[in-house]
Amino acid sequence: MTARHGLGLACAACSVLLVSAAQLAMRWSMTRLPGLGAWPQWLAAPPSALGMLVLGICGYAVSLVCWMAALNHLPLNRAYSLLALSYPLVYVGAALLPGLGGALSPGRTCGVLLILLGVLLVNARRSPPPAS
Amino acid sequence: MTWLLVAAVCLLTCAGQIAQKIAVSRWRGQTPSLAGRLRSPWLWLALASMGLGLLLWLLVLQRLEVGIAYPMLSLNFVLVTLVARYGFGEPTDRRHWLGVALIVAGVVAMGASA
Repeated sequence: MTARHGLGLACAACSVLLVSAAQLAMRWSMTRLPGLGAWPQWLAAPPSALGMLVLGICGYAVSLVCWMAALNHLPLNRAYSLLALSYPLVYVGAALLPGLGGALSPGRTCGVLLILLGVLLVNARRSPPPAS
Repeated sequence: MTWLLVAAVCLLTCAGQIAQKIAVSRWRGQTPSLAGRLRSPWLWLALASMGLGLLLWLLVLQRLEVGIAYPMLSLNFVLVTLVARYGFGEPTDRRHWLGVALIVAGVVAMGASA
């Protein structure tokens, strides 16, 4: 593994962890805030919910920066395969962390695994053409 | 309504990525100044799509569990495949189509258990 490759993997790992945490934070805050149509009431919303929303959006923005850095150092297909890990991460995180109201179920677990496998297949490196 | 919002977020994300790709490809071979880059309409289209996508996404998160909604964004890979195949004429092999089918099946399974 080259240093450049290692740096790319580290950026991709940061991006995956950040985007997963950001999704959980945004969900946590949005279930505690009034609807967007009632935005004037947001001023009276609990500061923890607004703070978490800001943290979530900032985390999402930083994850995009890490993502672009990862794309600079890694082949596209490798990077996108790593991104797919965020799907099961968010699914399990939403179920295990308190206050998010997520639940694990066999049907959902199958769905996440199918999605993970699908993204890996879509981004699998094509096999080299057979030598003649 | 919730499913329409999810679909809109996927479409906006895909549009944002395509606009980003066009913006970057226009800069290739030259090194425009920051001001020059900021004059690119494609860059602004990309930013607008992503911003609107994020806003709609927050609406989705008020209605749907994130553990179900977030994996559905993988539909973006399906959209990008379709655009690459039919928009840009890039070749798509059988394994790629199998992956697309698995993603769609997975999203349907998630939706059914929502």
